[in-house]
This record gives sequence, structure tokens and C-alpha cells, in this order.
Amino acid sequence: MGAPALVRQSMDRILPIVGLVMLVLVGAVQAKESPRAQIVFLAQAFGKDIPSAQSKVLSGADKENIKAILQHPLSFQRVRLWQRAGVTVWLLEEVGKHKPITAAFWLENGVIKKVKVLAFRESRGWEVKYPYFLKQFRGLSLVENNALSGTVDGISGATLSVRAMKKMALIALYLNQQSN
Amino acid sequence: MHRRIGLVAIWLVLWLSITGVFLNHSDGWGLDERPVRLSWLSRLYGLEVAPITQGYALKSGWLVALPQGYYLKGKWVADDYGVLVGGLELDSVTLLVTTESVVVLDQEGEVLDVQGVFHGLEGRYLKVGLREDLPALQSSEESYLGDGTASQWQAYLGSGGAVRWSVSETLPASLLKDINAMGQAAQPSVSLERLILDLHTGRLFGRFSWLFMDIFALLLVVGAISGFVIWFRLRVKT
Repeated sequence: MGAPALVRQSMDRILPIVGLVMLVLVGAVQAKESPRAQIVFLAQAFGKDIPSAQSKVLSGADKENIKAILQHPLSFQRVRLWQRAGVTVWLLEEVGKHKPITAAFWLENGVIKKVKVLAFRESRGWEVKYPYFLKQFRGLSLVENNALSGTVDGISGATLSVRAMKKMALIALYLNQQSN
Repeated sequence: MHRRIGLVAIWLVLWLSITGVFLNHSDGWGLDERPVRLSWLSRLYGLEVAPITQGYALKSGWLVALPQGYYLKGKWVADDYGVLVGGLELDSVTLLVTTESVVVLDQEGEVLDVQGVFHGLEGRYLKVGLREDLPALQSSEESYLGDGTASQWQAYLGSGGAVRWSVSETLPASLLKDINAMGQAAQPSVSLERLILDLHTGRLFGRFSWLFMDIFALLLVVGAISGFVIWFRLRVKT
């Protein structure tokens, strides 16, 4: 086999891999702050006719309870939600280590139906975006002392992101309980 | 020759070992969260704060960008939301608008929420203003009109003519001293982890310091080889 043929053969093997890596990188960049993911998630929850977004202003008691869940002072006092016929989607943010993670929580009759990470801005802990982790929240509800009804397994190297996701799940369930 | 190399290299070994141990335990010891505030270090890293002269006039005060936060009507908003493009004071809320976020604060200066693409506001935000007592936002993608509390926004075909945009103005002399003092206090700092890392690699001492560290490292290699040769020769003799 001549040198040009060898180069061609090597390129044939390398190019698909380079292409795949580029696709993953482009996907990662696009997934960072895409409103499209939010629209798709809302359409899954409500169908084609998505209700208008609402804002819930937290009461004094809400602030105290959420502060207890977060274990640090609140950085917000108003929460965005979409609601219709027992279905609610809450849009929440919590800092993992340095930057906020934005996630949407779809709740039905006081139980988490689905969770979607809309924006992950940190360099570590991105595993929380994946379905294998998020599906653990399915079916969880709020039990005594503002705790989750089941366990959510941690991910090695993503402890803070997992903790932030669990806190947001608790806040979504708490707010849902208060609004019903 | 080998002994002299050893005498020089010993300092490098100590240097690398000590800084290496610190770096190894950086997360556990929280070194990445410990700021080092020294003026000569800020100069070295190019973090010096330029004098602040401009701000946005609100109904009852000023909104000014500080190095790591904002001055808002006498208070320091400590979070960094991005590059400030304008501000607006409505009846019950104040808007602090950066290229990336619309921060809505209550009358006490507490953050109500931080809005962005997930609140339906797409693109990079360019300016904010008042259109018939309602907030108007111009982004790179769209023009938006908000309600009186800036909780809901709608895209509109804004001509721009009817909007009084928030524009940057020179700060009054009476405020300059206070704001610049606040700016100095908010000066960005280098983390202890960054400092130790740059000491470890030698980059702290300038453009060619890494070359110096390379020479040291090569000396170590030469010392190791010459040490082995000496040991081998002695072994052959005996």
C-alpha cells in the first residue's frame, strides 16, 4: 500500500470521529442556554396549547421554608411557573459550585413527573443533565419535614450539582403544595 | 559538577514539592475560594480598577457598574450579572439590565428574580427604557414590552422613537468619591490556588520565567543522570 493510500485510509477513520466530537461540542454549546429545550418540555407537559407563564411572589413563610431547604439566603423572591388542570411546571435556579443551574420541574398531583436541566453553566458536574440521573426524580413527592419521598443516588465528582438538583426538587414540591 | 547541580536543584525540588502539596489539597483546603488582596499582585495580574466616572440616573439615585457588582441607590449589589447596559426605576421595582440578564429588584434593593432566555427574553440585551410608563427592552433579536412589575414581557414591533432609553451619564462629583471607594473595595482578587499554581509553574515572575523553570528541570535531569553514572562507575571499580 502506497503512502497516499495509507493517508486516505487513516483520514477515512479519523474524520468520522472528528465529526462526532464536533457534533457533541456544538450540541453542548447549544444546550447551554437554549429556550427551545424549555418550549419542548412545556409542550410535553401541556400539549400544543401552552398556558401563559405566571410569577409567584414568595410570602414571608415561603422564604423561611425555602431558605431552610437551600441552607443559605435566598437569591430570588419571585418564581416563574406554568399551570393548568393539576399540571404545573416550575422554573428554578440554584448554584452548583459557582454558577446557577437552571432546571424545569413538571409536577402532577403533587408528584414529580419529569425534570429537565435547561442550562448548566459549570465545567464540572454536568452528568446531572442526563436522563439516567434525572429519571430518579420521577414519582417523588414531599414527605414530612420537607424531605423527598425517595432517594436520589449521587454521582461521583458531581456532588454539588446533585445537591443543587435535590434542593430544587424540594422547592418545586414545596411551592406546589403551597399553591394547591 | 554533580554536587553543584544538586545544591542548585535542591531549591527547585523544595519549591515544587511544597507548592505541589498545596495544589494537591486545593479543593479540600478551599484555596480556590480564598482571595489574596495585594495591590502589587493586582498590578501583576492586570486587575487594577480604572476610575469610575459613568453611571445611569434613576428616579431616586444612581446605578453604576463596579468591578464585581453594582452600586444601586447607595447600596452594593454584590453579584456579577454581566456588563451593565442600563437601569430603570418603576413604581414598585427597579431593573438592572446587563447584556445577559434582566435583574428585577424590589424597593429595598433585594433581588426578586433574574430573567433571561427562559423568561422569553431572547438575544443579548442592548438597552432598556420607558415606553408610556412601561419597561421596554431592546435585544439583539427582538423588542420587548413588560408589565408594571416586569414579571411578564411581550415582543412588540417597537419603533424606538417613543421609548426614553436609559443612557450612561457622567456621575456627579458628590458621588464620585463614595462610588470609587466602593469600587476599590470590590476590586477583583486572585485566588490563593491561582497564586500557588503560578508559583508552581513559575509563570508569576513574568514572560520568560517558565524558561528559567525549564532550565532548573533540565538541571534535575542532568543531576539524576550524572548521579547514576557516578554510582555505576563506583560499582564497577569495587
